[in-house]
This record gives sequence, structure tokens and C-alpha cells, in this order.
Amino acid sequence: MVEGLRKSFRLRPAGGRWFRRAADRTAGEVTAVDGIGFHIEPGEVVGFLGPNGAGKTTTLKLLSGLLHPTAGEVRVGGYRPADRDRDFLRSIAFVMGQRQQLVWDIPIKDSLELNRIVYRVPDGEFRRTRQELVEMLELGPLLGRTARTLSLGQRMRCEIAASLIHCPSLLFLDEPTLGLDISMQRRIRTFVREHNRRRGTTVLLTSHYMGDIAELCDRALVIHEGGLVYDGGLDALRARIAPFKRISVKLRGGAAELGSLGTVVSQSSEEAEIRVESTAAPDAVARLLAIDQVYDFQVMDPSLEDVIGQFFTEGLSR
Amino acid sequence: MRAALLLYRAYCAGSWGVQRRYPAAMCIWVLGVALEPVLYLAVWHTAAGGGQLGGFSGGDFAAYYLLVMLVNHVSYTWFFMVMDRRVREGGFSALLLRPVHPLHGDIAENLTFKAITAVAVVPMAVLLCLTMEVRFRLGVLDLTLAAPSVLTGAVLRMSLEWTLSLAALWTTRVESFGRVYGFVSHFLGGFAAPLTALPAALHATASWTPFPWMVAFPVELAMGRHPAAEAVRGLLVQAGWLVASLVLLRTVWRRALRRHTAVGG
Repeated sequence: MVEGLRKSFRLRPAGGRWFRRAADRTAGEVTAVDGIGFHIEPGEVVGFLGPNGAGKTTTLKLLSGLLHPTAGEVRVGGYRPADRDRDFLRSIAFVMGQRQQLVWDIPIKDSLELNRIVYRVPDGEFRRTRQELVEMLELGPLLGRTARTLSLGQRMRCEIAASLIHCPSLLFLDEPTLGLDISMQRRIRTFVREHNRRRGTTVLLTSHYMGDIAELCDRALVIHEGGLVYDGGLDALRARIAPFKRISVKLRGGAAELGSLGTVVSQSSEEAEIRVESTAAPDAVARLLAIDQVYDFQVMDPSLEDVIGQFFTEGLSR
Repeated sequence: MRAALLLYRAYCAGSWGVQRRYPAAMCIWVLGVALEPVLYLAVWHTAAGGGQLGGFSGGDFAAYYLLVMLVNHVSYTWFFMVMDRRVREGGFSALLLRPVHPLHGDIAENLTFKAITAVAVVPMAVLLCLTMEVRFRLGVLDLTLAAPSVLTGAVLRMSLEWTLSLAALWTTRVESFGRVYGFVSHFLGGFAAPLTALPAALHATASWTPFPWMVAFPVELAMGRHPAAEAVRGLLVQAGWLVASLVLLRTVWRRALRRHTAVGG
């Protein structure tokens, strides 16, 4: 539960003598999170969307207790995160970057063992969880290797395993697929989805890859300039921000007059793409059928990437 | 208690796994730390010549710096360097997410390093003992008083230096701050010279700081340079500094958590 959550950072001017900077109390503040509020149910997978600097990661850090709020109320599983109650810390995991849980110079299995002790995981539970994570993330051949010898994708899989070895009920994922290739992104997504299904783990995710959000999340929180501008389903987000359909048209050749149907996004002698208002789509389809050069077409919702791109360039005013 | 022992064992095992991969770096580091008292010894031994200086003869200086080498080995830390890097690179956030105070990991790492490098430091001390004219007067009472004093001094030093290293959350120049601290603590803590060899005003000033209680006082106790009543009074002052440093640690830690901006992670 989050209510009126705000986080500001004091800015000091750069340059000049250090004592002058230290004495300067007139420097401004930047508000990274500005009075947001939401409620998340156990087991939900929620995506945080927003451009760089919108306040997504700051929000996750406030929810995990890494940052103290400037104002507002946060309760996570009944705890105030900033109190850093040990039971609270045992109930969460935060994956951010790839050198948080793993000790760089020791074998992965030893990092897992260290986390077993730190989180006081009983032996039997540790063995079961480790086995499950090793299978799901295909870590078998990596367990004896040190983190420093692993590739980016391998390290991220190990990092996730080390973060989940204590079976947290809440998982924060900050850009978990950043820098990974397509196949590794898919593996991570599949794992998160499967882990959520098996364990009922609540997942809060930020990502710049819309594929992560579209595949994993039923609900999105859109944060912009520190404020929460949308909280709801992804389909409703598409309908609200981008109430249009994309029609992909196959042409037999020759020029076809498509401009009267909607906005022509692209057109060649063989294919075209048109954007039309959702309400005008049935009429546009009926008129397409009457055009001789058209031999096939497909009506699609806009991609989440298009939706978010449009939102961040045009705002949510529509 | 069992959980704490398991935790320390796990941390020490992890730290051993890391440190054994860098034997050359470890040798260089330990040589630097262990040889520093030897340099001071050479200077003061020469300065004393055949006579006395600040109540120390050449043999006393040899005994003093031999013990400084050993006691300093028990208590020295590199927290400023570690904290500076971990706050700048975001590693501090990872530690905060764990249900264990980060201090425990640092202490375990420190102890592991000391245990490994003792293999080099102890033979160096023996060699020094054999090659220099060392004047010891190791009495049972002196050693009995020195043992808890060495331990208290080490805990005081670790606690104070860890607390001060938290300055990394306020400034990006904590390593420079650590260097200034190192200079002051060397001067007032009996490293650069035994306190009695300092000018009276400096000696008096030093006694009002925590620095002499970390290394110099335990060493002087072991050398039997304090009468019993003075030794007990010194132990009480040392304990007082320890309590004050732990209170300071708790207070600064709470403020540091509020101050933390979780940069880089």
C-alpha cells in the first residue's frame, strides 16, 4: 500500500569552493517521486513504465527500504520498509544489475550457500529451492564457476537464482533484461512468469523493453516526472493512449488511394500500413474490400512500444 | 549465538575464497603494513643511540615497535577504502537489502585477512626479535592486562573507523578524509613515536583522543610501563571510549540510512 509517496533529493551546485557549496542552502530540490499512491495484491505482476528519470527505480527503492520517503506512507506486507525489519528483508528480493548478490571471486554455489546462511534458509528448503532454480534457469554447468568468468546473460541468471534462494514473497526486478540478447530476454521472462505461477511471488518490474512488460504484466503503472499518470490493464492503456488500429495491407501492384481511409504510415507498390481511429476501423475495412488492388489485409492493435512512444511524445491528454 | 557463529563462518569462508585469489596483492599489502613500524624503529633506535629518549632506550624502542607491529596487525582496517568504493559503485545498496548488518561482513573479512597474513607477520616479528636487541620485561600480570586491552583497542578502532567511513554517504572524498584520519591517528596514537617521546603538550592532547587507546596503550601495558592502578584506570578509559564509539556508530548508522541516496544501484 502506497499513499502520497514523495521523495526529493537536495541538489547542490557543482563547481566552486567546497566550503561555498557546503554552505549553500539555497540550492534546489529535485522531486523524483511526487505524491504517488497505489495498492498491489499478493501474487500480482506489475510493470512500472516511464522514460529515464521518471521515478520508476526510485519508487522500487522506496518500496524496498533502500530509500527513506520524504513524505507519504508505504506499507509492504504490513511493514514500513524504511524500518528495515529483518523479517521484511527476508521477505523481499531486489534484482538490480548483476553484481548485487553474487560474490565476484567465488563459485556460484558458494554464493548460494552464503545466502542460505544470511537468510537463514532451512537445509531441506534450500536444497529444494536450489534444485528448482538450477533446473528452471539451467544453471547446472555454471555452479562451479566464479561470477567473474560468466557472460552477461549467465551472470544475470545466477544473480536471479541467488536473489530467490530464500523464496521471497515479493520480487523487485529493475531492468532485468537490460543488455541481454533476445533469446536470453525470453528465458528470463519465461522464468519470471513460471516462478510467479508456481510460488505466487508478487513481482514489481521496471523495464525499457516493452516485451518484458507485455509478456509478464497484466497491470502497468505509468510514471512520468515523478507522478503516477496511469494505473490499470495494458489493454486499457492502449485504448486510452492510442485509440487507433493499425491495418497492414497487401497490394497487387499499382497505386491505390488509401489516404481517405486514415493516416498512411507507409506505402509501397506491394504493401501499406494505415492508422485509423478505432471507431472508424469497421468502415475502413469495408472500404478496403472495395479496392481492386487490395488482396489481403490485417487489423492490429498498436504495439505497446507505439503506445508508450506516443505517450511520452504527446502526453496522456488524448 | 549459533546463528551468529554460522554467519561469521560463512562470511569468513567467502572472504577466504576471494582473498586466496590475490596472493601477490595480499603480500604487498601486508609488507606495507608490517614494515611501517620497522621503519619507525630504525629511526628511533638510531636517534636514541646508546642513551635514552622519552624514557626509551634502543632496546625499549625495539620492543615497542615489535609489539606495535603485532597489535596493529590485530586492529588495523581498510574500511575507508572499501566504503568509498561500495557507496560510489552501488554495492552498499546490495548490503542494505540483506537482513544482516553490513558491519558483520566487514569484520569477518578483516579477521580472515588477518588470520591469513599472520603467517607472514609473526615470522617477521620473530626475525625482528632475533636480529634486534629487544628489551622485554613480559610479566604475567602485564600480559594478563594487555590481552583484554588489545581486544578492546581493536574493537574500538574497528568501530570508530567503520563509523567514520560512513562519511562516504555525505562526501565523495572519503578516501582523502581517511588519509587525514590516518595521519592524525598515527601521530597521536603512538605509531610515529611512543607518546612519551612526544612534546608534553602533544602527549597531553593525545590522551584526550581515542587514538592512544587503540594500539599504544595495549603495547605499553604489555611492556609493563604502567603501574597496576594506572593500568586499571587506563582500561576503564579504554572501555569508556569503546562504549562511546559504539553509541556513535549506532547514531551515525541511523543518520546514514536516511542520508543514503542509493546511487548506482
